[in-house]
Amino acid sequence: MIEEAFERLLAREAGPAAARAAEAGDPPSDLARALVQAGFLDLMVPAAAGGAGLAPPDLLPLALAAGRHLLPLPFAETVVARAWFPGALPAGQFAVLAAPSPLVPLARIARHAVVRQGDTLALVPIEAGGADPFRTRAATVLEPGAPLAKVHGPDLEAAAAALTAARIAGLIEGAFALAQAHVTARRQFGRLLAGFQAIQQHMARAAAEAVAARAAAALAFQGPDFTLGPAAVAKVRAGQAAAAAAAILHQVHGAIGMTDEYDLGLFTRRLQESRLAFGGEAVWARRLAERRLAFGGAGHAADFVRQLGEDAHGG
Amino acid sequence: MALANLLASFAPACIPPEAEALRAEVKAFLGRTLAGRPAAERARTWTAFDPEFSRALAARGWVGLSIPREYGGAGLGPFHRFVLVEELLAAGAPVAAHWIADRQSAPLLLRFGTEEQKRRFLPAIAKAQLFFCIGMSEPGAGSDLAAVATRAERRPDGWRLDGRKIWTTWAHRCHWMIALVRTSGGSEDRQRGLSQFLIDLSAPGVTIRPIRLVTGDEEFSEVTFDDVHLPPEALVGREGEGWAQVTAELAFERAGPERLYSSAILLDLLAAALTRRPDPAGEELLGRLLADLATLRAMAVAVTARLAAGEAPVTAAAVLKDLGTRLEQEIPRAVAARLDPEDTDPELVQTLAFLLQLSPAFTIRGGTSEILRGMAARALGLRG
Repeated sequence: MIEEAFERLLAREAGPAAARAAEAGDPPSDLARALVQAGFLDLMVPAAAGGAGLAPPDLLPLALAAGRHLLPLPFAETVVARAWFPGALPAGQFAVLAAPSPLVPLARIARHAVVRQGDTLALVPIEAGGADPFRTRAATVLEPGAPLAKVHGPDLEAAAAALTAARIAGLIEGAFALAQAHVTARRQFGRLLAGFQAIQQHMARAAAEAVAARAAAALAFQGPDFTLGPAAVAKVRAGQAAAAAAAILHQVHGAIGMTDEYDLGLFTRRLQESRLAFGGEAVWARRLAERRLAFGGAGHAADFVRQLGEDAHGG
Repeated sequence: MALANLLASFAPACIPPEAEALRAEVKAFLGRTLAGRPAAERARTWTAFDPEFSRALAARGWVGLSIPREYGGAGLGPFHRFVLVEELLAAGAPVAAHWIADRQSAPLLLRFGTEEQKRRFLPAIAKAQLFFCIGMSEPGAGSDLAAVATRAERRPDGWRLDGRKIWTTWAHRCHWMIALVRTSGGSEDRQRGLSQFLIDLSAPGVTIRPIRLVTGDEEFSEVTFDDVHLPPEALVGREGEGWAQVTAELAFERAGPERLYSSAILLDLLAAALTRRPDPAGEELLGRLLADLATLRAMAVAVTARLAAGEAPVTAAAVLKDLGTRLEQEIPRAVAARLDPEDTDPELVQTLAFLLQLSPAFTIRGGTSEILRGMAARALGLRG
């Protein structure tokens, strides 16, 4: 129900035109207001604090939709920040999760961030600056202000990686839809591109990557909290899917996909940005391997990946 | 959008606790039975034919797990089977003898067989007394299965079978074959006119010749039928419906955990090597492959949930096999690339050598990746 309402709102108000407007510097105020008024930002605020008390599994479809519809707001990040700091984020304000990263997506649109300060997390106002290398309203420098609130416990890095993986999965789905429309409309050599086996094989591979990215992200959203093991799986596998899908979907578009006017770039710029955000796949792969080595030699690989899933379930 | 349908068939699922409860018992049994088995032998798992092991499993009710109790099985569902199969494959158990009968022949007979066929074969499958193979490929019909030319001609007393099947796994040690053959028309009729038959491999006119593989193993065979008499009750399902029956059967073959773990033992040997000699590049590789494995396992659990819901997730199973076999193939390739001359565990080298030789088969057996992607493309609305 929430999912359908969110999807309807984004289908109406988000999408390529809204993303382009935000990139040009127009703050997406109408979209922000609509999300606030519908109560979407308080979905994971504990019921005792006046929120809907939902958990990561409920957030996953919304985080996917945000990617698919190019939502130019750090929506899922704000939902998580509001859950971690109930009542601390001013009404209608958005926040990013500023785990260590070469760039923080959408930081120029948010006024707040969750940052690590020693062994606690702090919600701080931010001045976003530095570069915006993908023209997506990201920032490479965040100047934090005085903390509005502090909290001990949540895993900032895991949450940032998990949300980024879901964004990637949604972005691949959106880019795939463009490619599907393209290959079933464009003709070359007297027939539709979709009629060529080479194109069919490309598209099947891209679809498989979309499935894998979503499955990997879902692992990181299965428990009551975001934890490092499943988040590492999600960031690694979704990052690989982002690289593979972006390459394939550009290839099937030919030169048309390389133009700024065409919408594919809106998706693939964000896919590449998301791979870089919070560190590349190799860094997260090593984090996962450390856990495997700590798991010991008695269990086999299947035991290790199953236990990651059980952790994710909170079991 | 067709991608949405595909994504929906992978909706996250969990193994229910009653199925998960089987795991500890299976682990304990395998720990005892396979103790001391070398890694290179474990890597053979579902290509290793060991009737004694299969009978020991059957004695515990673990062959024909999903065959209903009235036909001698344990009457359990796809999730129980997932847990059992995952443990068997992860431990590298030699499951080839009963594998096909358990995974494909029994579900096929349950679905399409006569009551008499079910009573005759299913209890014997569950006891690991009868081993089955599948006759699909022929010298002139590999990926193009609709081109099969082996022919069963109707006779007053049943059928007369002539032709040849090839790449039939372990036919030279199996008792029965279920074969896809032509009962009417010619190869121009494609999927029409095909039927499935139960063939007693000890019948007069059946000749079986093992084929030696690049690995040096002989798990394949060529089976020639020369004027073989089949009784009327050898027909499985309906005459002319063979293609539809085979398609359903392949979903059983491609779903589940069977396409994830063929090379997984190398991940354990890699982890052991990294414990002896830490190496950041090796850790990156291990983490990357484990992330892929964890994702694929979640996908396999999701597809199993579709089977448990009574669906035949044919496209999802094809996508799972395409991705799963790519990982199975990548593991030996990537582990070979980082082999450390200062730390050459002989067991690692032996296992790696075997898997490097076998791994081209992963993306061929049970449907080539190209065929699987063609199926996905059709489901996505990209081909007619």
